[in-house]
Amino acid sequence: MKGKFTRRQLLRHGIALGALTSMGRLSLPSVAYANSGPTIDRNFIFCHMAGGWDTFLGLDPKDPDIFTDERKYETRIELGFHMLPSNRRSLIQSNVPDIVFGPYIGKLKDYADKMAIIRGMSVDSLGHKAGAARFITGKPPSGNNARGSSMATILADRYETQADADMHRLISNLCIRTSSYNTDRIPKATGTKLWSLDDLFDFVEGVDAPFDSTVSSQIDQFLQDNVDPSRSEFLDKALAFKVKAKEMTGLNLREKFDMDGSTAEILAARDAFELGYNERNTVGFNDPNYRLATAARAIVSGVSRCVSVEVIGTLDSHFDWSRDQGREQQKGFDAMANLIAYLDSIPHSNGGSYLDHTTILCFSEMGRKPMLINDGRNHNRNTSCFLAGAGIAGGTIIGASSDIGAGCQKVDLTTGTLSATGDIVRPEHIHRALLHGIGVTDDVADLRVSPLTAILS
Amino acid sequence: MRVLLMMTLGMIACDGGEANLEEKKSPTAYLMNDPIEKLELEDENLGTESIVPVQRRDRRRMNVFQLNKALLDLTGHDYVQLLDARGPLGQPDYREITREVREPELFFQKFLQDAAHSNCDFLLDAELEATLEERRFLKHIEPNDTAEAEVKENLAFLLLRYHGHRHENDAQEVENWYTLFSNIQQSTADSQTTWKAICVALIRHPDFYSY
Repeated sequence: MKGKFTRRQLLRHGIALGALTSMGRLSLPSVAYANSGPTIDRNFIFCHMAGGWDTFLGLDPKDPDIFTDERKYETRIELGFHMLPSNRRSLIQSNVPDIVFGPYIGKLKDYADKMAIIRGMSVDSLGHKAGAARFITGKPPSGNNARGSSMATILADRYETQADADMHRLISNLCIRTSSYNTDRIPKATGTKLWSLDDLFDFVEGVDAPFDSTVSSQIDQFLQDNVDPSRSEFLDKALAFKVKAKEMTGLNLREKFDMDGSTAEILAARDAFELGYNERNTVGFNDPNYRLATAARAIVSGVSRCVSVEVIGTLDSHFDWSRDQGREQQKGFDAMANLIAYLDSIPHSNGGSYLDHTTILCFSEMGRKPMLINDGRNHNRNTSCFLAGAGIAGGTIIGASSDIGAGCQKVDLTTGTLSATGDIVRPEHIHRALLHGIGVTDDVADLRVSPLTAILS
Repeated sequence: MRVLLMMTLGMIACDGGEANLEEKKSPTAYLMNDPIEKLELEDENLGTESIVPVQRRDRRRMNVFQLNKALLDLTGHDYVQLLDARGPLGQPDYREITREVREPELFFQKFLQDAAHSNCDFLLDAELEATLEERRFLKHIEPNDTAEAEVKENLAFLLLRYHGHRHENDAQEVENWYTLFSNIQQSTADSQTTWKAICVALIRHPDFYSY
């Protein structure tokens, strides 16, 4: 027994150690990151195609001549292309020689040179909410509940806590019909949720006063004179934010977002996203193009730093897969192509286009099983995603799904090639890489993995 | 071994004395990061027994539910947009947002102003139609009356009702609000609009929405 501690001794030592640490002598160093502030001014758009996509039809296809219906019990892969319309049974060549897509990639095939496509990754989840929480936060959820802040929230927090006011945005974290989590970041990084464009107008436009501007000014002056800001930090902030709120409502931001407007900027956006006139009240946010146009306008107008969008929410095809899955995917991919083209067409004041200053991540919360069940596919933890834009190595394929069962495979995080000693790519590897790409090399999001630097240019 | 441990603990205790004393001055300071609201002490009271050390916390604003309820009680209307925007206005749902924010930040100020504009407009329009007993705002004055005494009496009533401060009609605080009333009355020549403006100013004042 000599040399071993008894339970009583362990308890006693534990208490002594606790007492010492509480005095601050042996306490763990407080979390202080040497490299936690972004050094690159960059915007982010997180695009969620909800429901769980079938990667065979889009981002991660398999050759129908090899993975035939006859071999499905050998390969455990059932493409089901024979159930698709006859003009949708072939793979699509992209604008990069080595990159081929599934039959429903749509207009996105012309932008492969700007995309890093991750194949054979895992979300470790078979549930919609849990998968989305995992992808949005990069942390394993607790049941369906996210355990941690969204990556968009963390990025917004990193920028908003910088002393340089040029890094700040009015609505730093904008969320269009999607979830956003803030468990440990500054209040300003909390996602502002929109269900319609009117919600956005509610935030940036004021209700008309029941009197003229002279009276408004008299009230403002009275409040400024009769509240002593030196009495507390709260009152100081209250007066400062009162002035800012007035400035914000005077900016006429509706003009920047109202797709029924007639400014040159809006006409260009309507053209790029193929929107008709007067669709706000008819199509509105039900259209993926409308949602992405709003996201793009939020970035281009300088209102937001991070925008999260649910591009479409109709991919959960347990039934009628052959009719719905590809059609809905293509709606989303076409809108994504419009987003890339639009951002690429708008010059940025620091040179290049807005696409050169905006990183796009497009994902679904999970994939779908490689074997069909009648005309449907169940959920699968294996999935794909893609990134495009600023800091992303375009024309790149990271990893691959396996040829048996289309499962996840380990990848060398620095090269993106398959490696038996590598890691299965998960959302947290991508999130770390996004932070890495703006100069935040410390693990400020507590993701506890290495970054997938292979996606970075 | 025991002696060494005792010496070590003794050194730790001595070294940390000053810091401990500092902490004792403010026993609740560790609970909050915000500075304590400054006390205004009368010089003549300093050093006498009449000074009782009082620990004060900094202000916090109402949350959106409290604010909405307060508006309903005072103006007869709630302002549901506050509830629609409750996430960005700092209300946790403990699923996506777990921290409650009670700071008077940008969007809170913006929605507060909107609520004040909207509800005060409704309120004063309704006051015109209501009998004295039914009125919530013009309890001590007729809508078109601008006599100083009545205006001040009503302002004193409103400061108690909206800000919880009891003032005599001739108090300086009431005088300040009367000056605002007079200035607006002069520029609009319309007492109903003037009372709407007073209502808006009362709601936008930090003494209404913070405590």
